[in-house]
Amino acid sequence: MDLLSPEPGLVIWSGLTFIILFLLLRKFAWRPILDAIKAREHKIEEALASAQKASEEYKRIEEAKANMVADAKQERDLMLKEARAVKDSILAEAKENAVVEAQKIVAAAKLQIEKEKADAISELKLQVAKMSVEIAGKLLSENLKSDERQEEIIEKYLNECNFN
Amino acid sequence: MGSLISVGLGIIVFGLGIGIGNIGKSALDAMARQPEIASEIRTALLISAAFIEGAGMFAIVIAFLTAN
Amino acid sequence: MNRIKLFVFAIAALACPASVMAAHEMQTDSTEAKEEIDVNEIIGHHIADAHSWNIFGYTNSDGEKVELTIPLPVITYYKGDVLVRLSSAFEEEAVVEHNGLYYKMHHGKIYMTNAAGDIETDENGPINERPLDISITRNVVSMFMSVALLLLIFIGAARAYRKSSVPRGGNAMVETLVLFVKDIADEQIGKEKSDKFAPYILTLFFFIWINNIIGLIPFFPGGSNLSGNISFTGILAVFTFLTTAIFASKSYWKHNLTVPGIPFPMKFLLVPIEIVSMFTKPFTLLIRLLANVTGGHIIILSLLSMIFITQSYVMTIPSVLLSLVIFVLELIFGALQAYIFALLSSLYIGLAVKDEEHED
Repeated sequence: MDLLSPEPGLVIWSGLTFIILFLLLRKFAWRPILDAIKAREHKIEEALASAQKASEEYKRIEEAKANMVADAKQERDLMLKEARAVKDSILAEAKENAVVEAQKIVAAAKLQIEKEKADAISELKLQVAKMSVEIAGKLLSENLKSDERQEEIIEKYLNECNFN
Repeated sequence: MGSLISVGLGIIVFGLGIGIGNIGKSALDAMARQPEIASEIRTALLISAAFIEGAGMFAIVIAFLTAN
Repeated sequence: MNRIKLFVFAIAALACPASVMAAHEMQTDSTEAKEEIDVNEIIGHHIADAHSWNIFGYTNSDGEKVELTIPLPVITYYKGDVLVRLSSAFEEEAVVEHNGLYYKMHHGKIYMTNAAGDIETDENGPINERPLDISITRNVVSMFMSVALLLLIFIGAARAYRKSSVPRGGNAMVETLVLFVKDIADEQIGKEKSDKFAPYILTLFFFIWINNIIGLIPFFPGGSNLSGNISFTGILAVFTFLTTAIFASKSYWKHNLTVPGIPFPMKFLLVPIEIVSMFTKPFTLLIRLLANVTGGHIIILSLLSMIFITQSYVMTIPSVLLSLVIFVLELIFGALQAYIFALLSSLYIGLAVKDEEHED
């Protein structure tokens, strides 16, 4: 049967053509195409790796940033707290001082008053003494006249001498 | 003689049909069960179908050769 | 998965213009088969090789049958005598004399004859001696065309990579196809060894595919039945066989020739089976491609011939529609057969070059 008996001519041509085609395509098509695809795959892999790296780096930086922000916040809080404490202590001290000062002033005033009072009393004593002496002098001079008169006079002066 | 060959060819194709049909059925079942390895199943399906077909072709060729 | 989808899309894109061509084939056939309704002969003529290329025939106004035919070179070798002639010299059974030898073409074959051009026959056909016929036949011309196309497409695609590493347009599709075939080799042979065999598998796949497509184009530059010819499929199968035999690993030979791990008496049975199977593997390759492609051509032509067998216009519609369906199917099969040939070739090569030392 024709269909199943090979023709030597066509076998030779097919074989020859296939070998030549194979060699040509291998050299000028398959190798360049497959190499280019491989190179491209390599490139893509590299790019992906570097992108991965970059994203990791970014993450790291982001983390560092967050840490720094947190630190700064803490520091600020600490400072604020300290300042508040200082303010409070200053206020407390000032209050204390004021109290002490006021007490001092009051004490000084009391002392002054005592002193003035003492002065006044001594003055008064002096005046009373003077008066007494005067009265006594007058009494003495009156005494010289009569008893009734003397008692009258004493009474009169005593009434006059009013210690308010 | 010619009609005998035709009957023989019919029987060959009958067998081929059953064989490849079975492969197709099993492959479809497997693909439905595990769609994630469908491409591997497809390759296996084609290879086994090709083997059965090869055997069938062999028989058909022998039938043709004896016809002449 | 996406790669396969693209692949299917490419085939579908090819199928659309092909349906127009199918209608065209019906027209060209109608002129051929006006008088005779010997469908067997028409089909046999179509799927066989030829020394000239019949483009079309028609009946002119004088009622004569005119055939437009391109003569192709006939080259033969017989006992030291090389004959180179155009096939037109052999028209109408003319006897060609060269260096005292007489050549004659009879039913598409060159025979050695006497001066009168007698062809002696017995029940198996002519018994005249035949020279070694290495003519540039229709199939050879069609093969050269396919080679030119392949070189154009793929070297062009390879050049595109010099400009940028990402191809555009048609070259992107070429890359998809190349990667599709490369994946077959990678899967079956194994990644570390496939680099060596991928060019072979790629050449095999595209050479078969493009010839399948050319064979399906019904008008002039196509229509040959190269990939359905046993000489063509045979030599490809031989190449695959040689590749497996040459690059086979030690463990492959050991496994095939000694069949380790089974009782000794069984070896008498299994070793011959293994040896025979080494040859049947490529043999089924060649038969499968041959039978599928030729079968496809026969089915399409048979369906179209229904019109001439029934001699009725009514038959035209179903027969053209049916052959169109088969035509599209054959386009898919053309790719599928190339795929299977490449797949099985890489499977056989993969089996042969695998050097694992497991004995079971």
